This record gives sequence, structure tokens and C-alpha cells, in this order.
Amino acid sequence: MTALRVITQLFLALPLLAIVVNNLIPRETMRHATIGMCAGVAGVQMLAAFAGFAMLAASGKSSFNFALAWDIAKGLNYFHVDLVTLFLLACVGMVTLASTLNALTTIDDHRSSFTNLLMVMMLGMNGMLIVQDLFSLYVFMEVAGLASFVMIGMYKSTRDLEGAFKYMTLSALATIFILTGLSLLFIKAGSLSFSMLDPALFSGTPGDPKTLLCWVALVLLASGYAIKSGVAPFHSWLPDAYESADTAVSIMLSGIVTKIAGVYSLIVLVRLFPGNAALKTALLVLGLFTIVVGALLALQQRNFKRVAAYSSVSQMGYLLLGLAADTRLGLIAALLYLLTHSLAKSAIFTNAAALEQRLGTLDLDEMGGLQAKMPVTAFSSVCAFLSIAGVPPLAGFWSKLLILIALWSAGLKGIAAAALLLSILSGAYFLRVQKKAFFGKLKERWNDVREITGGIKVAEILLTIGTIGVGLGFPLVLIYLAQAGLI
Amino acid sequence: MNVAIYICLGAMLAFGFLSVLSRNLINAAISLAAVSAACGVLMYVLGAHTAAIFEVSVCSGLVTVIFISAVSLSNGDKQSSAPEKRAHLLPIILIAIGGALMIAAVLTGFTLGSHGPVGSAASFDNVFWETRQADIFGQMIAILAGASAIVVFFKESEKK
Repeated sequence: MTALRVITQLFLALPLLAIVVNNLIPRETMRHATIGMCAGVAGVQMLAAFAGFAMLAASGKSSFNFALAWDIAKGLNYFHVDLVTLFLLACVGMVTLASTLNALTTIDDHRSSFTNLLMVMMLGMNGMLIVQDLFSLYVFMEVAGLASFVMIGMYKSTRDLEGAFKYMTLSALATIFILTGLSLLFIKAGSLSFSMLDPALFSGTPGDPKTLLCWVALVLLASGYAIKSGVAPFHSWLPDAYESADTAVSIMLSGIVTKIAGVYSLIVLVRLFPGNAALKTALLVLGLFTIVVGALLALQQRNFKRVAAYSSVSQMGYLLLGLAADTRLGLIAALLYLLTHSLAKSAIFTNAAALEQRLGTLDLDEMGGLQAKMPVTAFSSVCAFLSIAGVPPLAGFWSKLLILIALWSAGLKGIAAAALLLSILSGAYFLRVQKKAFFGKLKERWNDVREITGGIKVAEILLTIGTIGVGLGFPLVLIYLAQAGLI
Repeated sequence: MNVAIYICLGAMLAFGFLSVLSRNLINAAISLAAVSAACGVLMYVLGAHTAAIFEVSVCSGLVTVIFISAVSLSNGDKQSSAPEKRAHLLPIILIAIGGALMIAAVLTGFTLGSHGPVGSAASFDNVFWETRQADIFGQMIAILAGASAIVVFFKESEKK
């Protein structure tokens, strides 16, 4: 456990250290070095979290409690990690690494605060994953949110500021919902610590106002977290924010921020209040509605990034369905879906960065036949979209399959069938994007276009290897789940 | 004590209304400071002395200074010549919902009770340095994010 104690300290110490070093050296002239250092921090976090996951699993314990280094001597334990949070901490590291590789090309020399904000965003997400209290969860959610608003608007163009403003306005609404919900929950529970919250809060004498307030709190909290997730009908901020932000920032927002700030918070609710039928129904309805709305809107978009953004909205619906199954398998399926979607969506936004760098536009009507000129980008894009559409043997297929199995085994057979049929819509917008961007006859104006190089190409290759590799290795996960009696 | 609570709540409501509906940003910021001041008094009356001091000093004092400085820097205190459409209905709806909740609470005899660190005998030091240590750490990072935001929006150049 000594090694785990060191590993857990890294999740807070490394980003903080990176911020200190960033501000000690002249960032304008050492942009690549500072972004490279952040990439190192992200890479170390990913490896450390996976190592911690293996250690905790091997120890047979369900969680590990810890505190900031200077508080350990006092015997305080206000942070904790478990297998779920260690897995998500690894996902945070992975997506941040992909973002930094893109940032080497997309972030200009005048954006000296980018690395500071990226590390603050990472600290916010790490903090959300290690706290044991709903109010602390909110505090770190605001940290990640604040960094996100600034990063979306950091180029200060009208479009950037509009995207940041929309995100901030809807986040303010989410904040009102969450804080009101926490206050109402506190009235009955007397604490917001995870250990003090349980399903018994919702059972009381009929007409008891405090129990009624707990139900209101649940509705408010679920709505607030849904806004942060960007699920329909709370999705209006998301496409504008993703489109206007720098691609390195879009990767963070789509790949991990919405998933930790929104979906992880919903996971916390599901884990705190298992068997809550109202929450389960709300997640099912929101999940199905989100899949349909996101996919239909993705079909109508002309901009590559906006298709990817609406695709994110749609795919978030599958995550909610996994949680709605309200079983251990459903939670595992949702987490694995989160990983595979993060991989594929990071790859798609990296493809967007490559196209924007080489073409100067992301308008699908202006593209065509780019497969011949940008084969790596085209292959990476095809793999990522196929994975999201759920085509075997790519990573997305297996995780989507697990969600369907989880729904089926939870008795939600109609929902599983509907989710399966709706995945056809994902295939539809995938085919449209690939046809317009990469297939067909090359337009004359793109004759001189060359394949992307540098960090973006490295990120494309690594994320594609990840998508294929996780897909090929997934049967091992299924064997493990079968041995554990979960499927 | 009840009279003081109702006076504070009424003052918060009135100044909140003024803050939302004021056409002048400076007046809106000052009204907001008055809301915080009334909230601070309410907290003191209810026994949360330390929280009251923080509310008055930070929300009513420091934040108002920052608001007014920002408005002055951006010349936002000058009246716009073009008439603006304002959503007067929203604050009225919100106030009506708040009023309905208050009436429901009075009619059902609902009481909050006393819970957790604020209501218990836990010392401020204990709450600040031990019970809520994670939140304090989070607040420190939030301040760091705020400092970075100021650099991005006031120092770094606009064009990509």
C-alpha cells in the first residue's frame, strides 16, 4: 500500500508542480517545452492510475483513503480512490495526453496561459474523482468549469467568446440546480459526505416535507449534472463551445470534461442511491431522447467539428442507458463505453485539427477525396467513426454490446432493442462525413494538400492504435466478466 | 429574533430585485452588495458567526470592489443609448416560486433543525483545516484559475 500512497499523491502534486514550473520559465519562448511537460504529466498520470488500479485490484480492497501529504501525519483521510475512480483518472491522463500532442501544433506562441489552464482543468477533474463529499465534488466541478470557460474563449474572437458565454450561462443554471439540490439534501441528511447518504433518505412517512425535499433535491441534482453532461435537452451549449474552441480544448471538453463533470457525477448519484426507480426512469428517458436528438442533429451539420459535437451528444445517451440498468454490469459497461468513446472522439477531434491545419476549413461541402492526400487522417477518421457506430471488432462495438447486454439482463429488453436500432443513426452520420470529406473525387483546389505531420499525426496514430488495440483485446475483458459471473 | 430574520429576508428580496432589474451596472453591483450584507446579518442572527464575517467581507466587500473596478475599466457604467429588451417576467416568476415555498413551509410548520459543522460545536479551526480541507484546496485552485483567466483576457493578444 506504500506504493499506492505515493501514486495517489501524484494526482494532485504533478499538475501543481507543472503549474509552478510553467510560471518559472519564459513560456513564450519555450512553448514546446512547457506543453511537452504537460504531456509528460498526463502520461505519468495515465500509467500511475493504471498501476494503482492493478495494485488495488490485487490487494482485494475496495478503496484506498488518503489526504494531502502534509495532513497524513494528522491521520486525516478526506480523499479516496477506488477501482472506478482510478480507471477514470487513467482516462483523464489519456485524453490530456492527446490534447497536449495536438496543442504542440494548434496553440500559438501567445497563449502562454494554456498550459496553466490545462493543468488547472486536470486538477479539477482529479479532485472530483477523489473527494468523498457532494459539496467538494461541486467545488472541483467549478474548478474544471472555470478553466473550460477561459480555454474556450482564450482567442477572444466573437465566436470564441460566444461559445464560452453560452457554456458559462448554462453552467450557471446547472450551478443553481446543484447548489439548491445539495441544500435540500443537507436538510434531511445533515451531511453531504458519501458515507452519510443512502437510499433510506427517500423513504419516510407519507407527506413528510423533508423526504419530499429529498426528491426535489434528486431532480435538481440530476438536472444540473445532465446540463454538465450536455445530454438532450440540455445540450445547446455544447456544439457552439466545441466548434469555437481550439481543437486541443475541444478534445478535452468532448473527450473527458463532460464525462467527468457530468457523467461521473451521475455515476456518484447512482452509486449513492441504488435501486431508485425514479432516477433509473429519468436516465432511461434522457438516454433514449439524447441518442435520437444528437444523431438527427449530427446528420444536418455541414461542419466536421459540429458533426463530432452532436455525435458526442448522441453517444452520451448510451452512457446514460448503461447507468440506467442500475447493475454492476451496467456500471462497468458505461465505464468501458466512456473509455472507448474518449479514445474515438479524441481521434475525431484530432482529425479535425489535421483538416483545419491543412485545408483552413472544416466545411464538409468544401472537402472531398482527401483520402488520397491525407491517408493517415482518413484511416484514423474511418476507424474512429466505425468504433463510435459500433462496428466489430473495434473498441466501440464491444462496449456498446456490453451496454445492450446490461440492459437486457436488467429486464429492459425493449430499451436494449431500441438502443440497438438507434445505432443505425450513428452509422448514417458516419457515412455522410466520410463520403463528403475523404471519399469521391479530389477537388482541384486540394491538389497541393499534404498529410499532417508532428504532434497531430502522432496523436492520430496512437489513438487509432488504441481504438483497434482495445477492440482486439476486449474479449479478455469479456472472459474476466464471465468468470466473475457478471455476463 | 424572528423579526430580524424577516427584515433580512425582505431586504435580500428587495435588493435582489433591484440588482436584477437595474439598468446601470454600478447600481446593480451595489444592490448585490446590499443582498450580501443582509445575508451576512441573517447568518449572524442564525448563529453562523464566522460565515457571516466571510459573507460580509468577501461577498459584500471584496467582490463588489472587483465588480465596480471591472465595470469602470470596461466603461460599462455608461448608459447605452439603444433601448434594451429586458426579461422582467423571470425574476417575478422566481420570486413567486420562493414566496410559494415560504408559505408552504409556514403552513406545514417546517423547521430546518440544526446539522453538521455550522450547527454543531465544532470549532472554526477544526472545520477549516480538517473537516473541509478538500474544499479549501479546491478554492485555492479556483483562485489560480481566476488568475489565469485575468492573464488570458487582459494580457494575452487577441488574434490567433
